[in-house]
Amino acid sequence: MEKIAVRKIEDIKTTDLELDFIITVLVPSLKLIFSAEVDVWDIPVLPWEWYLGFEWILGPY
Amino acid sequence: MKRLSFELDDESHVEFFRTLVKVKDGERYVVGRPDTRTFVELPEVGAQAITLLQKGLSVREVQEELKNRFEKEFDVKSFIHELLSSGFVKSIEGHAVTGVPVEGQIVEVKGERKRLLKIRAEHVKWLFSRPFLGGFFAPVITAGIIIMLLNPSYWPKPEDLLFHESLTLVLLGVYGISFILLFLHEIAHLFAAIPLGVQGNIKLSNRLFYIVLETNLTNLWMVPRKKRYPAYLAGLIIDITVISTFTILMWLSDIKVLGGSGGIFYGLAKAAIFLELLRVAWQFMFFMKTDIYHLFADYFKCKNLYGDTMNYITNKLMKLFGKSDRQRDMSFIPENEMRVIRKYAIFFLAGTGISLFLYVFLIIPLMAIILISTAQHLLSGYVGNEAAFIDSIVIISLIALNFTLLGYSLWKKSRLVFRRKTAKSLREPTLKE
Repeated sequence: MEKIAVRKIEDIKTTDLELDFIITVLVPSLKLIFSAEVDVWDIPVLPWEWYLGFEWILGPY
Repeated sequence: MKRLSFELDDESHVEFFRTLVKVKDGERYVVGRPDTRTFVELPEVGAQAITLLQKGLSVREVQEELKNRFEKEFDVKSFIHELLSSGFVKSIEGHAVTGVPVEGQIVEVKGERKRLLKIRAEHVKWLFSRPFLGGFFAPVITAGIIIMLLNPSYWPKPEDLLFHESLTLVLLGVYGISFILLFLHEIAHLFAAIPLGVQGNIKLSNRLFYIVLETNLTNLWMVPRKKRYPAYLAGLIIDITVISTFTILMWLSDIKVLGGSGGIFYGLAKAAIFLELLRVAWQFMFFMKTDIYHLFADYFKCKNLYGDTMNYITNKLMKLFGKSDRQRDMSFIPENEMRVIRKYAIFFLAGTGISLFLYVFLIIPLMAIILISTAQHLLSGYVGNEAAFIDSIVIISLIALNFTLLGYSLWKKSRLVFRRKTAKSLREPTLKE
């Protein structure tokens, strides 16, 4: 006997990004970068060391 | 042992809820209850089985009739069992099915079905009509694009966000604009859906670690596919129109038609354009369920692309770890959909992987820098350090607000999943063979 396939249909939920998170990271970062407190190229350079030894915290910042 | 709520045998008659609708969609049918926003896809035989059951035929009679029509024997009992799980069956042999929401009953989390605005179709049907799209949106968008192409100085840049020296003013200004634009986008979806007879509602949610506002337009499944497209695109149309409108206003300001350039409103307009650009770009990250995702999935006739992709990836992992017996059955999915699922799975894994990588190795370090800098300013005290002190408090407050909203959204989602699981187990039927 053959089964009659019943397939679930997903919900349609349109979205828009709430930028709070982006703003709170991006705006102060830009401020730091443009005021030359942080060199933009230094930010993602040593993430592994940051995670291993928190050298970013102990470093120049 | 699950609760026995009814018995089903060959002579049983089934009554469906009056709100059950059946819409032909290509070669298949979309069947569901708009009042509970639950829909399934059925082949022709399934749609005919429902029609026969609605006419009052018993399970055995339906089985015989389907055999005559399709020259095959179909398992009608298990089919009814599936429809029961979806909450479509009201009673069997006059016995009400328990654990199923009746017509008009609210099933989602309390408050989810509350309508934001009581707006009728005649109020908004003009907004995304052909004449208005062609007579207003298209010229405005075209004019904005032409200005940008002829004047590269209008191209959005990250530094446009820093429209004032005070970080507090920038943060609060940008946050305020962002909030207004967010609502405009979602209300556009609502307004595009209302003339189609679809009422939606807006609520807070999340995609990965991003906080989002989402509009539930699940009842769009009741309308033909081509009419669904404008509802998906309405938010993006508004976003791009806002970008173009502000570009035109800035240009008019620069050529002295509208006051002079360089004021705070000019700066806010530039910031708004950059924010909108971020939003538009984000919509194209459709490895998450963004507006473009729905457009993409619907265009390729996939009605559960995300769920099917998850099952496909899970099956691959099961196979990899030697647990093939725990794979989910995907044999009923047509080959054209499977082709899309296989390709989307690669895109989904790459997109999610890159996003998480950037979050862990860029966003978190950036946030650490900001928090350290903020903490240093706070520890320096208020006196002689007023501006930086206030900036720091605003930054910490906004970061705290973000994580509060993210936590709230995740908590609500987990509660909803728990409730649905509980409700499903309560109405799980036990069939009498």
